[in-house]
Amino acid sequence: MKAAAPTLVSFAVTRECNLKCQHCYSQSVDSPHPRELNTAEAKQLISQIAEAGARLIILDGGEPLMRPDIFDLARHSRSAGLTTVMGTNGTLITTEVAAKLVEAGIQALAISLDGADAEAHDAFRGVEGVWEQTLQGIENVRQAGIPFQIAPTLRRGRWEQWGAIANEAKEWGATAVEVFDYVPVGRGEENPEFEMTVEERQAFVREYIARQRAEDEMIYRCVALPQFWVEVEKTVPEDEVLTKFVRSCCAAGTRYCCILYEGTVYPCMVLQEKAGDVREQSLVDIWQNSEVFQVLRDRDRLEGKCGRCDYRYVCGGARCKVYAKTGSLTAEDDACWFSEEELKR
Amino acid sequence: MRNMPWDEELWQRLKDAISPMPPFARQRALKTIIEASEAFARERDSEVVQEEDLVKAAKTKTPALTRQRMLDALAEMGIRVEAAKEAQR
Repeated sequence: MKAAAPTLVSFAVTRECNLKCQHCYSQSVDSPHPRELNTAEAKQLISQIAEAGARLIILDGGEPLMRPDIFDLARHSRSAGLTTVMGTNGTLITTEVAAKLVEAGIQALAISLDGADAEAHDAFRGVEGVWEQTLQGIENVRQAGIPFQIAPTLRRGRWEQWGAIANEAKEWGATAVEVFDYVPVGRGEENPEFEMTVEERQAFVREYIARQRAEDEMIYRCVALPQFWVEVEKTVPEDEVLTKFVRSCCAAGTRYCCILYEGTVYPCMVLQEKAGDVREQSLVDIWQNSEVFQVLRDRDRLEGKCGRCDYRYVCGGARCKVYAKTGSLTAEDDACWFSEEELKR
Repeated sequence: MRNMPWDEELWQRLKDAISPMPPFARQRALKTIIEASEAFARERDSEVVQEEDLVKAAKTKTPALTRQRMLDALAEMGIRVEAAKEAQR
């Protein structure tokens, strides 16, 4: 059966980055990858993403603003009919860059902020002084009128800072806060001590739900923590679920995929099982026929507790973390805190 | 939100299908699809909204721009979009 088109695709346009984040999934460094897609190839890929039926493209990296032709790529994306957004660390967004983002048609930004203070953020991001630069970037974006969301990463012992970050984000006028659970992939593989405990994840999810229930304007989303939706369904009245909560994960291989700077296609930036290479096959061909995507789309192939779970089509376990730990796309997620009884609908 | 009984499993699948949508867009989509599904159920003298009513509503009442997305989302949740189409012919 033909798979539905991807809703959103992220394109990591470069490996080059001005930071050295300890959790970087793309192992970004201070130089481009030697085989990075050139401008013509990148434009061709963007056209293919539009032809595949995607509505939204996320230009990220590395740090996308390190790529000299980034504004040209953004313009091409808009002319291909894609809603075009960018994931950035914000440090390079001067007033001039903010104006160029507007001119190139960037419609929204996701800006990473991993601490409520300079010490927490800079230590995690690997460069001193970047917290201040990121805040200045946010201010420049705000003044340019570009909608933006703030994207913190949760980590062991520090996860509670997300609340303070979310408070600030609201003050600054962010439209959403998209929280990423720490997944030990890429450079993150070297720092497994940052991964939250099951108890911390559970506590975060409960706090997240309480915050969304109390909030009428800001939207919260979370990535790599699909069990949150089970908790939402179990604890929030239906009317509130329908009017306030957004199920934001896991769409890997079903509504979303990720393409790296040198053409490798993954189901997700944090689920790094190669599904294909756009230099060898068209994106549509990979999306429709890759065995990796076929496996991820069939939730009845899940094993163990995930396979028996009535929520497998809306949760399915954190496939990224399962894959990082076991190498399997279908094994059960042993970090799920629900009992088998609780997983009956 | 609902004005007549629905097959509960079908209702759950519809909720699952629309849950990734932003809340504002979702509320409008839900209102349209619920009203249409219930109208189609009443048309065939059914007291309960069934899969065929929902699929017919999604295929005929969803705005053209988002129709395929809605059908894809329903299919992802195991609703038999194609089978129901055959049944309607």
